[in-house]
Amino acid sequence: MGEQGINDALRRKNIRVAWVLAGFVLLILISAVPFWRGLFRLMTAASGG
Amino acid sequence: MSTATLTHGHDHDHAPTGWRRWLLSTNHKDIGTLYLIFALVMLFLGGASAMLIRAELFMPGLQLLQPDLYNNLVTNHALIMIFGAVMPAAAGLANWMIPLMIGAPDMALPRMNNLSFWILPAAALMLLLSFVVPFFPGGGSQINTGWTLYPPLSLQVGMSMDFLIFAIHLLGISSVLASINIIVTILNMRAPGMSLLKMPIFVWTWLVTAFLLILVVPVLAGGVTMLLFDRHFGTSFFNAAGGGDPVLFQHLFWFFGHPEVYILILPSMGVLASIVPTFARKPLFGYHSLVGAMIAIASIGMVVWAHHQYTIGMSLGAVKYFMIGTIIISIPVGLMIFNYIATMWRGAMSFETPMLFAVAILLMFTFGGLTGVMLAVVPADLQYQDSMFVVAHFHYVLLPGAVFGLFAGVFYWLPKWTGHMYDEKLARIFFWVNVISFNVTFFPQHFLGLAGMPRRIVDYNAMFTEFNVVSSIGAFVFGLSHLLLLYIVVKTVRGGRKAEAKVWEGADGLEWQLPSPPPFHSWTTAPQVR
Repeated sequence: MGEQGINDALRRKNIRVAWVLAGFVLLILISAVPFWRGLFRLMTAASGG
Repeated sequence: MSTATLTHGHDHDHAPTGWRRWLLSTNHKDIGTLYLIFALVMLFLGGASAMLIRAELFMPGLQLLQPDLYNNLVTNHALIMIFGAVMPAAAGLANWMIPLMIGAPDMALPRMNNLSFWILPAAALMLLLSFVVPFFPGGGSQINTGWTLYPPLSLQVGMSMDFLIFAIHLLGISSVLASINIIVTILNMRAPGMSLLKMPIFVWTWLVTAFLLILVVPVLAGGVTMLLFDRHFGTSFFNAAGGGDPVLFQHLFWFFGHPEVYILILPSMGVLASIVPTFARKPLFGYHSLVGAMIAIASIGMVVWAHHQYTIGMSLGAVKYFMIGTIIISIPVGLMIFNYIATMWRGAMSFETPMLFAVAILLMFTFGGLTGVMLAVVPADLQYQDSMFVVAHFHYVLLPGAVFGLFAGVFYWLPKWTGHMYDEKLARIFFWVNVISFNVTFFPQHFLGLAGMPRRIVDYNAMFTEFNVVSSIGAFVFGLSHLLLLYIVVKTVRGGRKAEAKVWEGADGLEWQLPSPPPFHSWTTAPQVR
């Protein structure tokens, strides 16, 4: 039980996980347009539209 | 629930002073306070627009507002309450409590925490400008789309829609940054010995909520960006004349919009998981099943969005899927409710204000959930859709499920934050006035909807007058009752009976081992969780 703070190793680990999550957000953002357009076409085709 | 041993060393209580403390803050407690103050201001702004709406609907005929302004107010009430009041208030609780509950010295990314908050006032300014710009020369038409921003209407609105789209982008960035910070904090910053399945349920609810946010907010951002491109850059994503389809926007919007309901509700359900065991003086019933229920709610909640769109002409198979999926969500939600009731069962209960809110939430949120099951059933929904019944339903879900949960949390943790006990007598008066007037406001709206009164209209048939009068009177009392909340909070911050470290006799968890108020830098020595 020593002094607790955000040391360098923990700071690097935090930033690494944050970047992974940010990449995930970017992936969802970019894939949203083609994904939803494709799904929408599929649904309208199924309903005979 | 975890127990901990700690040695409290010295407090590095060097709080900066003046404006720097707030503007440049990287302290989770100060940023939490900023979020809560911001949310309270927005609550009053959103509440003022709601009271204007109810003043207009007090009697049939045009009383105070022209139809365009009425539609503008309906839009801004929803957007301010959801993005300005409830989400920031929940983020305020998260900032304050998550590091205290998991034994962390602060949030994992303190500077990003500062940025997440300070984007909010800029976003709020954009949001408010979107409502007032049309009143200036050349400002274009008022926003009349409601919070759903459906095209083709949103393609025809003037420049105020561009302000609104920009505000949504900023709000989204703020939410995503805050969510990333919360996830990293929970994953990396827990005290030694605190495994994921030893975390308080409030922390779990925020972990699930933060993941939900980063999954759905980018889709909304994509949707409104496509809207912006349709408006200004010649694309036709949603423009039928150019080969697009406005219904695509509805899918994009509700893929965000439905999980948003759980984003608003889950943190409050986490607050209940702290309050109910404290005042029932029993351990939480079914910890693991609660965690499972939350994950199930989030997972299923992400794939049932089109129950908001039954009337658009989907295939029968799609409609059946969305109906069954929606009804299935009531199982994990019911499980949460039963867990809280089972926690109370044979407990040595006492009814301080947080517990009063908890009991009221369980009753009223369950009622809102039941009308939700009614709305999930397709043939019934074809009758109820776009009626006041829907308005009554979602206010019974969102006020008890989200707002009252936040009030309960504020009363529960206010002594910890300020070091002073709040005035219990005044708080109970606030509770009763608030809850009774809430029911007077929204219960009659079920009957209005069933009798055929549409929502989002400025005028109505005289046959709906009586229930509207009752609803409006309730709304005025409900709105004004929040002044009492403000008074209680200010009074508690300024002084009052000294609060002990463990404010409530039955409370359990790391946060109660710190003094009230906690030192500026808390958990400078890591607690050991057994």
